[in-house]
Amino acid sequence: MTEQMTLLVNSHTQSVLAAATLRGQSGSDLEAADLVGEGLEIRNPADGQVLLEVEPDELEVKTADLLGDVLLQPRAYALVDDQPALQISTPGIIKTGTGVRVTYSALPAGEKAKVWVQLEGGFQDERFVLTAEGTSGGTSVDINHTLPAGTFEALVLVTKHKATVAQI
Amino acid sequence: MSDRIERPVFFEGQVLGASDLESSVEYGRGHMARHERYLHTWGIAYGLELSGEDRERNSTKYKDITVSAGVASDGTGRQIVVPESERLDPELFLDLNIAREGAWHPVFLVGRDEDPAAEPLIETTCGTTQPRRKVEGYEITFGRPGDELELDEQTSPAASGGPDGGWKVLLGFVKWNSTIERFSDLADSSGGIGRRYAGALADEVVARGGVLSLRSAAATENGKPIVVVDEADGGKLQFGLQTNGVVQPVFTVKASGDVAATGTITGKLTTGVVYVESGVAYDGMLVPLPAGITEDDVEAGQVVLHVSVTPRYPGSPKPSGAGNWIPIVAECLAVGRRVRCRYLWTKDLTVAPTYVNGACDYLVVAYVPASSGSTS
Repeated sequence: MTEQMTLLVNSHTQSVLAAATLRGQSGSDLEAADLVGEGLEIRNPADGQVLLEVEPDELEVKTADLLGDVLLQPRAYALVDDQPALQISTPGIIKTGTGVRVTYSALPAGEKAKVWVQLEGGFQDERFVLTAEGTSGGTSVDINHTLPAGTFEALVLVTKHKATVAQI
Repeated sequence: MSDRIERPVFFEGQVLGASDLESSVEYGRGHMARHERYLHTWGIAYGLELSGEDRERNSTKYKDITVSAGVASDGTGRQIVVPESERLDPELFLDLNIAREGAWHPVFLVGRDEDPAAEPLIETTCGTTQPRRKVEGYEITFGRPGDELELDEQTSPAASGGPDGGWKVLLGFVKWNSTIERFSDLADSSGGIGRRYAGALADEVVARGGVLSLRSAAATENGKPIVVVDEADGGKLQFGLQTNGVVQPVFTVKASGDVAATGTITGKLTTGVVYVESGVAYDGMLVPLPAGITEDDVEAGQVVLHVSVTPRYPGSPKPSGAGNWIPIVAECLAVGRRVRCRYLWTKDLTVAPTYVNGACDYLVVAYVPASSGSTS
């Protein structure tokens, strides 16, 4: 039997955010909270500081045939037809006068990109989760949301793109 | 005492009156009603299913709903027979003045005695006509949303009583469209309350052929759960799904005490047992608990948890660019069950290092100390 791995993916975009293997049980028996507790920590690799925490409600547990590279860099993968596929495109994010603009590479004809953004920070240390859907053939989407003043850490997820952490 | 049951008896030459013959019928009727009432639970015995056909009125879709033929037994012990399928009457629903748009209204079957429409009647000595039959009729009616919650508050007759009428048997639910005055939808259940099926009241069930079966559906329906008590092999209890009426056991208890299960058995933790899980986990997540151990067990102190993480080589992909990249562990530890794992890659020990989050190997050991769990 092919060895399996367990993936934590964002429910909205199917972006992979973490991966694991389990020898003693099937990962499909687990809930996201079993593997992240109150939240999956997204950390700054340079100093280990926790930048964002993704709540289990935003995550799904999926299983797939074991692929070693997914374990080492899960955030470079997204599920396509329920199988992890390495992505090369990276989305971008900037603040606008009315919210944020997420830019991305155009998806194949007829496909609309789903966008999910988590922002944490600002002067009052707040957390926002924003979602949107792009147009067919589109390469950006504006999400209107009044952001308080200050700098935010942003986790940006877009269909068939790498997960990206940026500061805006 | 008037509540005592009287059985009619006859003798040769007796002049039989109508009351004598009537009491003969009532004796059997009452006997059957008490059996139904006290040895069975009330509900649908057969059929009486709601089905709808899509129709259109004023360009609005609605459903023409029918109750199929069937039999029910009510809480008074009355048997209610619907001999042929019957359409739910929108006019009756309208007359009841109970409509609430978008809400599920219960559909009830109510048994009642009726006089026959015409024949057979007989002329009495006084010249009047009397019916020679009673029709064991019924009414299909509707309730307000929530009336289904009061079904169990209906009152049964006294112990010696015969079957009464007026008891409501729930058949399903309908929705109403006030604009076109037609039913818009139907359902078997609403808010966890569904069609009530007749059952048995018994403190003992005894098989005659050596095998006692308990099924969730008829034996002809494959893939449905079944429990079997079987005298074969010295006696055994089996549970599984049925195929052609025969249990495919996933759990068996033999009279000798042997227990066999094809799945996982979980229960109270056993003292002294060690549970283990291992694998690979990524930075920021929790290492999983071993199968059979829950977060509640950990928080309650029922298990002692040992978590060990060790770096992988490589634990992250090599950066792009030619040269002799060297991975160095920047951080690899578990804080509780939370993985903290980072690597740095350096080239020839001269180029500024590149930090990345990465994966590590983990081992989780859960031990049930003697102060908790049960001994085996």
